[in-house]
Amino acid sequence: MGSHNIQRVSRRFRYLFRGMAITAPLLTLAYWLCFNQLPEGFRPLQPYEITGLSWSSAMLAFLASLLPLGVAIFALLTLSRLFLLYEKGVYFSMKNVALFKRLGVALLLWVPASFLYNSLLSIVVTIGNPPGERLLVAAFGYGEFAMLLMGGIVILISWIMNEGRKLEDEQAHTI
Amino acid sequence: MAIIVNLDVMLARRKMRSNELAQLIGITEQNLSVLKTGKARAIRFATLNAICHHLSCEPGDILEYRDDVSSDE
Repeated sequence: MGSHNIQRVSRRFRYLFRGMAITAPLLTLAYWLCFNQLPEGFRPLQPYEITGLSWSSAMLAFLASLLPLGVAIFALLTLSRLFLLYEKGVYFSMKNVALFKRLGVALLLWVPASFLYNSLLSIVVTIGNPPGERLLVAAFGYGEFAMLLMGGIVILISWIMNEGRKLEDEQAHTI
Repeated sequence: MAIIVNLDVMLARRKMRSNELAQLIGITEQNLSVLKTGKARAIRFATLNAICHHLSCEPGDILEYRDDVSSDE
């Protein structure tokens, strides 16, 4: 694949990630505001049923979802900046390495953010229930494990990218 | 670096300008400047070969090792 193709595809990815970073909070807000009107399949998979969410509960649920959402936006903006570098033909610079590392950290941050979100959501949606029916969920599942694994792999790739950067630097100073 | 590049000396002896040599050996003037100022980390045999060919000299006329110069390696 030529550098022209890399730049063209990178530009499309940059637009996609930037667009996703902008629309994600709006879609999340719309999701919680319209939660009661959503069909069954659109509701979050939780070990409890969420029905008849009040406006204040929906807003609190939205605030709770800002935790993983913030991490997701951070990751999307990092990807957008990484693809901007690829678009400019910069593949092995210090900035690339730093952005890869940041992406890995974002994936790792997703785990505590998701854990906290699930716990907070369970409190928010069951706080109005009578005593004995209120829940506090603490869940660590396959998704969190996969994110930990992916975060570790991306950080490892950032170290490999750093070695690539050194090679390119060496190459640039070879006459 | 304890390796000294005496390219400017050879250019003066042969009465050749940097841009002329750069053109002859097929590298940019900027890269030749990097080589002349000793900022290069490595030199390709092909580049060295072309320099020696066009300046009618030996590699030792261009590259010199001085033990008293501090090395950053």
